Amino acid sequence: MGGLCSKQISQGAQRILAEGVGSFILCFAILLSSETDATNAPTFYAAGFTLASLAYGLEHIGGHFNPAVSLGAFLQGQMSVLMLLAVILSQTVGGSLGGVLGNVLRATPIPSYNPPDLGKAFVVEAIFSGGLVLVSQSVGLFKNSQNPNSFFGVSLGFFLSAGVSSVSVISGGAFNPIVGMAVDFATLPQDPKTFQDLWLYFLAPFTGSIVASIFSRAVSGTTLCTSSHFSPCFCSTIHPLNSHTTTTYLTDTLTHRCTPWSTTSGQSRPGFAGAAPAAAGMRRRLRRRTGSLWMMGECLSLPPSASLLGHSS
Amino acid sequence: MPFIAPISEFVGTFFLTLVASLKSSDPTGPTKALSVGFILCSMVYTFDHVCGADFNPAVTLGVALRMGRLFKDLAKILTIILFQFGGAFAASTVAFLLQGYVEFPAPTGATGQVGAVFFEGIWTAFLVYVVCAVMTDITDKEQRSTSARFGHSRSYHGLAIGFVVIAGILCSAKSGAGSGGCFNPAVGISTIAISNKWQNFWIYLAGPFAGAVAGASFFTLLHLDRSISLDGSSDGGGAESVPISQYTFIDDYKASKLAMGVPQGGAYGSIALSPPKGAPTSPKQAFL
Repeated sequence: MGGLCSKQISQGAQRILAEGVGSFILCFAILLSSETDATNAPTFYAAGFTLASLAYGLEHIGGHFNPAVSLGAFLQGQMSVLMLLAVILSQTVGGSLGGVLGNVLRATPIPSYNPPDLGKAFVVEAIFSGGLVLVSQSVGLFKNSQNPNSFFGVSLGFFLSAGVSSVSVISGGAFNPIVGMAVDFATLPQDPKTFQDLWLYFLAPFTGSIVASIFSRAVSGTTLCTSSHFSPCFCSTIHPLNSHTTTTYLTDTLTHRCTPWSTTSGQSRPGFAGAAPAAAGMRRRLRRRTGSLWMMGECLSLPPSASLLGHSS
Repeated sequence: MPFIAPISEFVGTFFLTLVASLKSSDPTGPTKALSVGFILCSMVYTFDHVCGADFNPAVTLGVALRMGRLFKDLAKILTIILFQFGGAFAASTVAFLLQGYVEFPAPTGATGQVGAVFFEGIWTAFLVYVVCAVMTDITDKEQRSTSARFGHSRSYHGLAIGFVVIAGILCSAKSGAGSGGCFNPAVGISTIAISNKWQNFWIYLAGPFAGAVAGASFFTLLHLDRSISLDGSSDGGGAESVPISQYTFIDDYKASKLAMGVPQGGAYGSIALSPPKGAPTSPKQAFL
């Protein structure tokens, strides 16, 4: 591990920049497409199709354009804490700029929006943000390597469109902290109190993201750790047919190849319970060998594909 | 992990029913049809690697008929249908708590109940036919060996299924067929039950299930040369048989991959190649 090499730094900088630019375009499109009356049909499709095209355009860098999705990627061991904070900062700056610029270009500024019922708004924001994180983790990042499917952008965009059109009367349908923030920035001149419900657009998506990441870990059929900049990633894999064996892999950050690290057999406790001691032992070994305390992403998953693990040849 | 396929069906049906039962923000336009089709497409892509991604008891029935597994895997099929109804009821309850009522299908057209049940049946038959075509029918040997799908033969299956539902809901408007556009017993029955309006519920059971039988039969008739057997042996015909069923549970995954000849790198990696004592010896033992 040692120091950071230049390739890692440039990869990280590219990713941070891509997140900012993508968030800028997403918020810009949402602000410009919003109608001033209640039926917001253009926004549903503008948001969804913009997200789909951004996902396709920035696929090679792995854009999220959503702090909730980034948090999910962090929980899956895909990013380090430092990278998560940098990405969220970049998304916030980009999204706010996009919102303000979008509002400047509009003929009529969008009206200030506050959800009528905060409890219901919280519930729907959490449910659909969780679904978005689930879709993103399933199709966007993880399944691609094992189960190639080029329709990941369509899935993401369609989910966003369907969600926004269903609940935009309840919560506004952001499912994304930076979209809530961009709308608040845009409406600040007319409504100084517009930031009072901003906590909801942060808390609800993050709640949904945590739940969805736990669910995705348990359900997804692929290995959930593929890359992390600045840090290695550990994956514990429990065979679904044979919960007595836990195999731990070490993912190289540059090549994204997994190397078997250790295999624990004969765990007395079946199922996922066997993962905790394995992960603890792995952390101790990592600290001893590297002196590094960060980046332990242990991933519970079903059989990873041979190609993902670098065993294909 | 057992129950992974039923739980995935639960979550997928939850989102599908939630979108279907919440009132659309733009009730006059095609927004409702697009939302339901989009969420179905998205959910199919999300869960197609861990379950059959039906989210619809009628489709599950039709695919089971087409694969010839209805009686052999009856317990699994009933489990999946139970979880689909569970997800739909959970979503209807959430929608009811959110807005005080739920959108439920009802016959509104000039032909009344008869027209509604005919349209539901015909369009569900179309839906099941398309699902059978894009998710069970593999003709290309190379494609099958390179993709580790659960019998999912096309990458555009989600789009195809979503588009069928969009078109069906657009056709079922009041001035059209007037059935409310459901094609899904789980969505229909759960929203009707939460609304407590039972006078038309039989339409949304009889129509889709009868349509599923018709669609699966029609597909089988048109594809008699493509036989299906779970052990991977092709009993005649020009095309390769499909060794895995669409409703394969996750613990059958390894067995199906072995049947497909996919090398097992997997969780054993290159270290432990033999399972330890006490490990289940056949996928059947690990089921449920």
